[in-house]
Amino acid sequence: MNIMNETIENVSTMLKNKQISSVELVKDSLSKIEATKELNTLHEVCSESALQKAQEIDDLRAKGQDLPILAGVPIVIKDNISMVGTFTTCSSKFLENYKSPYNATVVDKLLNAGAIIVGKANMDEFAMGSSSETCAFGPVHNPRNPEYVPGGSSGGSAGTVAGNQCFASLGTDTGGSIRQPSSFCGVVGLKPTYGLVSRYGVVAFASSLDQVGPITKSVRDSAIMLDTIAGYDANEFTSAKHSTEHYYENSFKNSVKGMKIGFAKEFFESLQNQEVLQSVMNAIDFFKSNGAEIVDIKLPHINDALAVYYVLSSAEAASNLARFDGIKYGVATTEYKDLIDFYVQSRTQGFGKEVKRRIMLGNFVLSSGYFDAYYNKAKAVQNLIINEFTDAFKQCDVIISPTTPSPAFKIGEKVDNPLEMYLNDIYTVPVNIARLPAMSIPCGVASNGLPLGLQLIGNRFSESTLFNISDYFEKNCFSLREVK
Amino acid sequence: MEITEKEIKHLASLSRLQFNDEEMTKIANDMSSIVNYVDQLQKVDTSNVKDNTTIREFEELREDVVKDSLSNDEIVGNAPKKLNGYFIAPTVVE
Repeated sequence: MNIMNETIENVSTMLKNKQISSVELVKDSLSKIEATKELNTLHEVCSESALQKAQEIDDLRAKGQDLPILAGVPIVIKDNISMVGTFTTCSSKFLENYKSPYNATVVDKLLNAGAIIVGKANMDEFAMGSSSETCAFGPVHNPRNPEYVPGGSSGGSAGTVAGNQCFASLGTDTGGSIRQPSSFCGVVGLKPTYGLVSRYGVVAFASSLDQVGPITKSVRDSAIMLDTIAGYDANEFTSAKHSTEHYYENSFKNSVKGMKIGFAKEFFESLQNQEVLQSVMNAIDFFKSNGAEIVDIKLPHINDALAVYYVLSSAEAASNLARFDGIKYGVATTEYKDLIDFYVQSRTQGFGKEVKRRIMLGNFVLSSGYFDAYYNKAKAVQNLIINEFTDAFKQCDVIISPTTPSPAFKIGEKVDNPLEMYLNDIYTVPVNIARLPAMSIPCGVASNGLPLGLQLIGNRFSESTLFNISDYFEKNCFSLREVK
Repeated sequence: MEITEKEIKHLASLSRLQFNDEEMTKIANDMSSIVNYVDQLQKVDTSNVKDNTTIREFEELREDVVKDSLSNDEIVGNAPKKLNGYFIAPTVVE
């Protein structure tokens, strides 16, 4: 048995039964990270602090203390999440030397639960991308086949879990950045309801869309992680006052009988890839034959969501990234004419191509003469899409779709065509636009040997329903962990 | 819609970014194709859509209470140039 292939559930039991110590587990994680470092999933490995924390957990356990399920388990976080004692670079040259002065709320929650943070994961620069190729420290490789991208922007977070370097990770999802890489790498990714998980201490990309969520090897592990990180945070203005649900304890009913699954033909009209289509159709047949009801729903403006997304996310990114001036932190140019030129030169040196493109696009849609035609129009269409989902959820419990239009593509294949790259997110962005939760779970393997993903979308705060249906599918229909 | 080089220059100055000639051509092309794609929104009828700018559920504000914050050292800790707990900015007035 290779312990690094196990789930949180299993290693947690082993830790509890003292079949293994946390120090041994962290050492195994660190050796796996070292042995597979060419995947470039991590920017920073926290060996010293991880081993120290693991020893503390082992000491507490030796004293007979009852510890949380995550206690002593190695976890990775995305490099846009602040943690004292680490750099938080957002995979940008601009922040290469930026040290976190405080912990993100999700980091405090993980540490309080005894989780061992072993590293910070590479990503697309400032989370802008769908392939983790815009990372300033080189592209991340897909552990299923290193010639392929792991997806993005949480490509390092998905890759480190799929590559068995750790047991779970945190990613962030603004338009699909947890679900799309989870699909490409064959792991479980959850984008929680907007407001359920605090973003305090997480570097903002598009604040009205960003959400933190877990990437895991199983659906049940995803519930364990959400139990740990969810909850109201007074430090965040958009944090929801939603009561604690105990997902791990209460979600799993091991049945989909009577469940209503929404099928929107608009999700499938543009789908070209037959393997992706077939895998989702197989899932639909499986649910139907196990007592679920398939309901036809209408989402007429779903295919406008990507356009809405690029207007709103770029506008917010341009505003959020305006504070990167080279004075408070980051790259400071040494040669400049005046103050304005100092900003221009520092930002031009520090930001990569894709980040510059989004800032430019954002300032275009916000500039006078275009504001009404683009920004306000996109907000109006966003409202239409929200209303359509609200109507759809009067008829069904979850909505089913592929996570992505194709399996992972090769490194370099789409890097010169931004629009084609953006189309990767066509099924995932509507979820962020409507502030809903959604999961991506593995549902098959393509002929190129790479995994395919199924997306299940829930109504606001219905994570428990998503966990139940996804777990039922994973147990009784398809689990990539059992494919050899 | 075609985005001209003149417009790119204006946007670059708003964005506090600089592009060389080669980058200028590339970004003008990329932005034109993205804006053409986004133009599909113009065809959507939104005449009956109201209230499209705020997330209303988050309007409740917390009490304004004075609490401990980061220390001065921590705040200026990442500054490329600092002196006696201050950030050093380029000269604005000679």
